[in-house]
Amino acid sequence: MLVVDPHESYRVRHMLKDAGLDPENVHVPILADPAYTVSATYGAAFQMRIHTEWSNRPTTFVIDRGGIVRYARRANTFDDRPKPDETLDVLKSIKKE
Amino acid sequence: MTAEPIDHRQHDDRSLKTYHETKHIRMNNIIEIGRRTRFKRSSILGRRVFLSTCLASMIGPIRSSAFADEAKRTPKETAAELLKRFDKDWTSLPDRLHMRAVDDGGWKTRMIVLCGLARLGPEAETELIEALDSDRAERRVLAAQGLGFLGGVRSKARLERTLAEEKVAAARLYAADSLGMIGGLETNPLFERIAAGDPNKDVRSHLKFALERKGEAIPERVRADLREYDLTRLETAKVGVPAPDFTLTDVFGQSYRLTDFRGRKGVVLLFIYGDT
Repeated sequence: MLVVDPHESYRVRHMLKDAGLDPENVHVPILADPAYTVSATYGAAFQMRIHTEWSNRPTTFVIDRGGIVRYARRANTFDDRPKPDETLDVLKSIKKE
Repeated sequence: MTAEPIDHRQHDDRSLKTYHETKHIRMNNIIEIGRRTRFKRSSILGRRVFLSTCLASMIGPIRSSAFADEAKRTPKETAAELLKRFDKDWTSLPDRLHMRAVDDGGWKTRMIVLCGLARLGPEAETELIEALDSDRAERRVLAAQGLGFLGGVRSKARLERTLAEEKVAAARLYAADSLGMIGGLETNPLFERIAAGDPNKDVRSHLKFALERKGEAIPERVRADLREYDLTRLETAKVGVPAPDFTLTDVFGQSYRLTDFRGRKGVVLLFIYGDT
């Protein structure tokens, strides 16, 4: 599991603290993409204005063990994300194949 | 547990309060997926990534131009052309799309234009400084954003004026970001006044973030990433094809390269907006 945030690392730390999480104790890698290059490659960059700033549209990909994209879901609104169970079900169904 | 949708069109105190109160739910949902996939940070992976990064930097970047005839233009002409292209393709956002995805493809133009301006470097600075006086609001916003990636110090005084006088909040916000990214930013009575009293909460926050850098510019590597971005990679992640590779660093400074997972495990890859 990898998470990509289009800001520098110090801003990612602020975001985590803001969400009530301890940046030192988050076991998921939150990766900084301040040049937006990875976000653009994955078609997420600059598609949602979050209050005042243009940022990533929430987007979920599942990539199989062979490195092939098996699932992609782009959010229509800021809170439109698959629930954890939905994402994990996709992962499980890929593993079974 | 999921957050209820909120209407942000009015951007009023009530909807903002609800948004912030539910932020931890959205982030915890993300963390939960990581917990249940039992993902662990790996130091072995980090070392492999370091090696791959060194190799990649030896091979050098692959470039693609924003314009086929880019080589024939002067930098000034190219910058002017990029701004015109932005004016044409980037539509200003109707209220109903606030906090909602925009599907008009304008984002690609924003990326192409920012990338093209970053490649011009200091040569594009004059054009962007002039663009801060444009009567087109979206062009002013883009110019304020782009100047941070150029890193030229000549724009600092003009960006300060945007921060103090610009009526469009997004332009003030990016002016604050860019002043921080250029480097050498120190607090002064003007910044203190804006950090405490700008009518837009995000502008106040972003100016505080910029001052928090204590004068440290954005790393040159970030500018180089944008400058050297291969535009043929735009939106190439599709179902059924190999996931485009990348290397990024987490909050602990550890590098992760996507292809290092190949053959070992599947990956859930989430893009977030990272609101602060």
